[in-house]
Amino acid sequence: MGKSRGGTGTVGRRAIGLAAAVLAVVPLAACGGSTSPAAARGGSSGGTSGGSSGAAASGAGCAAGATPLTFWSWTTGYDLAVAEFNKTHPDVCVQLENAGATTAEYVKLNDALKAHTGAPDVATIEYFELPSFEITHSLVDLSQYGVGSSQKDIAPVAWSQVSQGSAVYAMPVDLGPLALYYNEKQFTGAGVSVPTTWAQFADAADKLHAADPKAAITNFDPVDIQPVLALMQQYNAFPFTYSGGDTLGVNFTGPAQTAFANYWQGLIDKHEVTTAADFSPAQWSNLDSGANAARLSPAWGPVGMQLSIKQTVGDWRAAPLPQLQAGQSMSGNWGGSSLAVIAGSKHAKAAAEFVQWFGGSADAWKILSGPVAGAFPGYLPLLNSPALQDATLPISGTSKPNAVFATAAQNMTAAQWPPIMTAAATQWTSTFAGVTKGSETLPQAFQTFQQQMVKYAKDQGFKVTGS
Amino acid sequence: MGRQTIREARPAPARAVGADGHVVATADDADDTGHAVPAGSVRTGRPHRTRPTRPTRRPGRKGRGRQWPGAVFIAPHMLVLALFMVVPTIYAIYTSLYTSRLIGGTRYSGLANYRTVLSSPEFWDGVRRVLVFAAVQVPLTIAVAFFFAAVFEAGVVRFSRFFRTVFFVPFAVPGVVAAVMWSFLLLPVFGPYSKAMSWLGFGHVDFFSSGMILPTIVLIVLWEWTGYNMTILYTSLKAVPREITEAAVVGGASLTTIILRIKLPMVRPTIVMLLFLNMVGALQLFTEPSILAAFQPQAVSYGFTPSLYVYNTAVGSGEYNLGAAAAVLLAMIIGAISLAAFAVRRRNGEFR
Repeated sequence: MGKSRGGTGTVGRRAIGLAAAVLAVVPLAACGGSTSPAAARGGSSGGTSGGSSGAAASGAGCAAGATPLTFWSWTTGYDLAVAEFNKTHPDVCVQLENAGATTAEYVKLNDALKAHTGAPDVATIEYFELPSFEITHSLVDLSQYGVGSSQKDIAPVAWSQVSQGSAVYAMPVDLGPLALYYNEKQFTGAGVSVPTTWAQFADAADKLHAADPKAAITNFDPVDIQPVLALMQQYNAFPFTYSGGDTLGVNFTGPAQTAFANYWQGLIDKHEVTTAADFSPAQWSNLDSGANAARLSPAWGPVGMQLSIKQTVGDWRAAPLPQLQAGQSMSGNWGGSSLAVIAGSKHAKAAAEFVQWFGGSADAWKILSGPVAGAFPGYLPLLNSPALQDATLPISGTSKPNAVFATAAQNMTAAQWPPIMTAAATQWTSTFAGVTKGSETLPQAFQTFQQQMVKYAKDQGFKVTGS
Repeated sequence: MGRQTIREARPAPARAVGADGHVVATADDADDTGHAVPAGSVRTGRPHRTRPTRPTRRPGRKGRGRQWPGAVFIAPHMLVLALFMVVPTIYAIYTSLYTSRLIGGTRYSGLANYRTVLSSPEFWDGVRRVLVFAAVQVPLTIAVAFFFAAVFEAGVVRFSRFFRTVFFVPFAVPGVVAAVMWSFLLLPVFGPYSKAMSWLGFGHVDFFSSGMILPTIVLIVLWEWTGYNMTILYTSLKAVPREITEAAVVGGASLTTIILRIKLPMVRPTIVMLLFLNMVGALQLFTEPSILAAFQPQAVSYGFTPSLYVYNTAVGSGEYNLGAAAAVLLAMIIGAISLAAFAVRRRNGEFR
């Protein structure tokens, strides 16, 4: 309870308290448990700083008469790219403001759009949230400003998540392809070879656990919706189908989804997988102590992990994610974001020019892939370049993890995000908490969540199809 | 609020003297009963209701002229009250009668949102949880606060002023900061308290497990609020006339007897007031669990407390109308408790 305690308990007083709490809590929630600034929770892209707030205005040195653009983003290092843009484009003046990280920003953006005032010209929006804004017609179709010409430079998985037919609703920036990031010493020590299928992965888990009863092959945080959905997508079990309009498919209880749930519950039951909260001190400790021999890591993961572990720096190697069937080469996407031009912008043309430059130019990417921002590119000329693929990190010794992640980025399918992701994420945490506690199983949580999502979608007026 | 609290903390000694009657100081009042009463004497048995006869005796402009400075003084408060309490409340009630959908827009839905909330097990789980929380936390906080207030007031410990300040410090720490701090201190396995527990032989204690999360929040809130309650009780104890204590000491009463048999009954109105202030605060429990949820998402559910239910429904799921209905219901529950508190305090002879 806040210090407003002791009032007569009225809506107004609580409303103020709530508003204050929203401001205070949400940035924390957005980076909850992350001990390094580069590893934010919630599937946001690499290098987010949830804690900072307030308008970090940049580009103060713009020429008089330049077209002013406001830009909402929370990602570390974006200010450097904005400064570069303002320097090289004197006719446009971009002002960067931090309106909170991920959900906090979306809530504010929604409120501003409802109020018809205060919305920015450009905002960072993660891929999973784009349909939620498309359905309310809040994003400008950028194809009319020629942004479509960037398609050839952008990874297809990113492009298909920002486009609907010929319409382009955002400019992709970064991606979060998943790979198996494993402790090579521990694998070798237990005589385990790198698994290429999920069946082999389960066998490897058995072997590692037999060699050391304290060892689990990896961590699976049931409470964190983003990585679970990314793994489901790779398992060909993505639960949502949506392609615009008012029909939404929700399927957490089909054969593929149930197989997925049973697979992970089996590993949890055998204590061959831990269920620590992602980015919690417990998870880092597990990775460092041998309690976790591998991590199903997004491309932006190693940088933050490197800051959070000590003993095993240098032992970690990247390999493609295990496959459902031998011979496949699928990956899943955890995180990644785009820049969208917000409906109502008075300078949509200049804004379109800015977002196209930001996500699709070598000048911007020189800064975005640098040490401060550390974003993993959806920009093909960089993604396919030796500069990116041959880069090394101390945590991986002399190996080249980015080569694996870059290949993974080419082997992802676009997820069909439903336009109700904010609600899904909020309700997910509560529903799946029982799996962590051991009071329910993953298949049971899937059953419950299926009912919740179907009910919510129907309440919101969707025609719901599903199992 | 602090000022008001201290003022209300005083009636104990006054009541001891004038529980049935009044200290009458004005000659005007003599008219009421037809014969003069010397100023300063105590009259008994005169009912209050007969008192407001003044407007007839001081009619017209003079009376109104007397009122305007009062109106000026309360105007800013009333304005803020209207802007930040009355208007949002009306807006919340208005919002709660509509339903907005992603497909199909907004339409009037009557009491449908209220029915949804009232039939939601999550909401009632939260209500039940805060009632249990209040039943434990409120008496505990006041008991601990009274203990320390009495000990410091009796002057039996040295450096009592220093310790009083130390006890009050947690109240100066914002609830958010306190919750973040305790989230780290109570961290399973790595936190110092967890380590201390296993060192003491209690094994692996997880302060954030489903069984322990409520006691953990009680602990945090107790830490935050004991000093505040203690300060008010201390002030109230200070107002107990010295002669009474001295008489008791001369009569051979022990310190325990003085505290429990003399001082405790005399500060009873303060305790009743604190009971309800703490109760209302406990029912609005929000900050601590919402911060803990960021650190330990598995420990705090969607509707852990009614306030969290309101927040998660409105902001988390974007169902503002449903959230507004839940907020109105919560306000009604707390309003009912506040009215009950008012009635009890009135019966106890306050507000004269």
